[in-house]
Amino acid sequence: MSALGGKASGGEGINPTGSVVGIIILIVSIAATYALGFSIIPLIGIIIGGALIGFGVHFVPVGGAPAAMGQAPGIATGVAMLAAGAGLAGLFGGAWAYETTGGDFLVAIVGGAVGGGLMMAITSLMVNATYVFAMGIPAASGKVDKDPITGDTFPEYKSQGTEGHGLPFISFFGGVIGGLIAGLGGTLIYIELLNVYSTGLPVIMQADAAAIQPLAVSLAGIFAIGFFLVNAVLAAYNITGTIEGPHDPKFKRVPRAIIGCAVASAFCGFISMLLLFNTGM
Amino acid sequence: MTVKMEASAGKLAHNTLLTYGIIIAIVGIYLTYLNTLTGIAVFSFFGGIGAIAALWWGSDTIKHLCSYGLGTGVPSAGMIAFGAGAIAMIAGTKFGLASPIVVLILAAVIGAVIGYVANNIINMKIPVMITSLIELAIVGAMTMLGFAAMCTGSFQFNGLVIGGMSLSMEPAAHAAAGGAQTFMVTVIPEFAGSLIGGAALAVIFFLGAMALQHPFNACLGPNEQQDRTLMLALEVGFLSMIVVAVMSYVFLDMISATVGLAVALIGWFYTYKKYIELSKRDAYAWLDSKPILEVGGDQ
Repeated sequence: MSALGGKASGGEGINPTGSVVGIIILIVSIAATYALGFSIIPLIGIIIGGALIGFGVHFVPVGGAPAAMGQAPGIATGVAMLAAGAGLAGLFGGAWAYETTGGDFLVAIVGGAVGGGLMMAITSLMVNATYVFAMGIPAASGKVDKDPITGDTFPEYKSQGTEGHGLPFISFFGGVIGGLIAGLGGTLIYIELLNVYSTGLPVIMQADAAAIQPLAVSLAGIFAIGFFLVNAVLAAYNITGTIEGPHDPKFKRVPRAIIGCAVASAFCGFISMLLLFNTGM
Repeated sequence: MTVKMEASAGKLAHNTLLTYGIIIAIVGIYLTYLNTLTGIAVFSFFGGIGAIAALWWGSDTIKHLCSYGLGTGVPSAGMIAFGAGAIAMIAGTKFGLASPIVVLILAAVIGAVIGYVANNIINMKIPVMITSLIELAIVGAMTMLGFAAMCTGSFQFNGLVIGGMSLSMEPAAHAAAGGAQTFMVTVIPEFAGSLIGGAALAVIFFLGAMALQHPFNACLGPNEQQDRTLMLALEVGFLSMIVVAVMSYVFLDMISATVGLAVALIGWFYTYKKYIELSKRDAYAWLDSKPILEVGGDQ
């Protein structure tokens, strides 16, 4: 469903030429980072984080405008908005955990994952409460006959002329998993950038490391938001509109998004490293 | 498979808009350099004018991109524009006086890579995808740079990250007996109170993203008219500029920030009036709301 009602584009399957060129861009970005004398470990972390965001977004049940009218299952908003909400909630959680634990990597990324998952769990719960108690519609998927987890059947509850409605358990489950993965990816990008900037900026700006810490945090945060939105929108373009969750046939398109997000993250990551390149100004 | 949906052809060709948008944005941002040349910061508002020119052009680009069925709604285009633009803008400000040009080039390159990813790896197969994402990344970067220049009076990295200076005084040497004590005074830049260090740039990010995605999102439909959409772009641009002008009170002196606020308020008022006129022109009927009629006591 597009804003103007045009047909959603994008078929199934991977474009081999495009993917090969993409992987070349990825390798060139890594090589260029190495050639400029930066460590490539943070860039690898950023690439993994970007791929995780692209993967996680596909789990989130996005209904768009039809869902708001009870004509399609999912949460009634766009992919980019939902992913940004879950990812940024995760990013804040992870950033807080990283600060509080004094730099514990594992706790921080788990904190980010829990933040994103929690945000999606609360959203899904309240969306379902609105659907069931305010709009008076039961949860029924139009894509499958049976919920793969609970075994509930859907056709009896599905209204005629709709693609299903409400938020079935599998979609709720997918939303939480998507929030976990996207939050984890976002936090991973943030932490990698923060480490790069908090060690690199004091050297290049000839300033005290403690004084520059707020700047490193802000830069890493703004860059992480930028990375997150780029990856989330690319994943949204891959989904083209609505998806019900991991049981949706569109979920099979996920490899493309992972390659695409990895390539975009690699190149953007290379550009963000340029900040530490000494231009003498 | 894409279906080209009809968006109004418009009186202004897209390339004309593109040319004016880029030129006014670059010139506007460079005019803020008068701050450094003259020593007073009243020229900061030119950054905001440049940002609005970029938004004005960008809303037409969004119209071209989103008239193909993206499936994700118009706001996603604004989000990817600013996500890519933010990365280019921050990395590009490191290049001193050449910064606006470097930001433009970096944004174009990032936009090209993201456009290629969307079109060829994710298989969108939309003819205008790559050029549109190049343009949108430039719009995002130029808008953020323009508003940042308006807010701080500078488009260079140091101006954006150093909030103020504090002096630290230490005894330089042991005072000689009976001699005067000498002190070593060092200037320590403070980063936390700056536009980027205080993360105020994140506010500019979303102010710009909303201003970019809103005009076509609000005006789309069968009766969409280019002049009305572009007037709305100017209107939301000035609306964002008002907020940026208020933020600039932190970084600029009172007079310069007030000049910026006055320009933003006058611009917003004028464009809002114009937009309402154009909406009335295009509307089927226009009913002004009236106060509820008082019913007399004896009825």
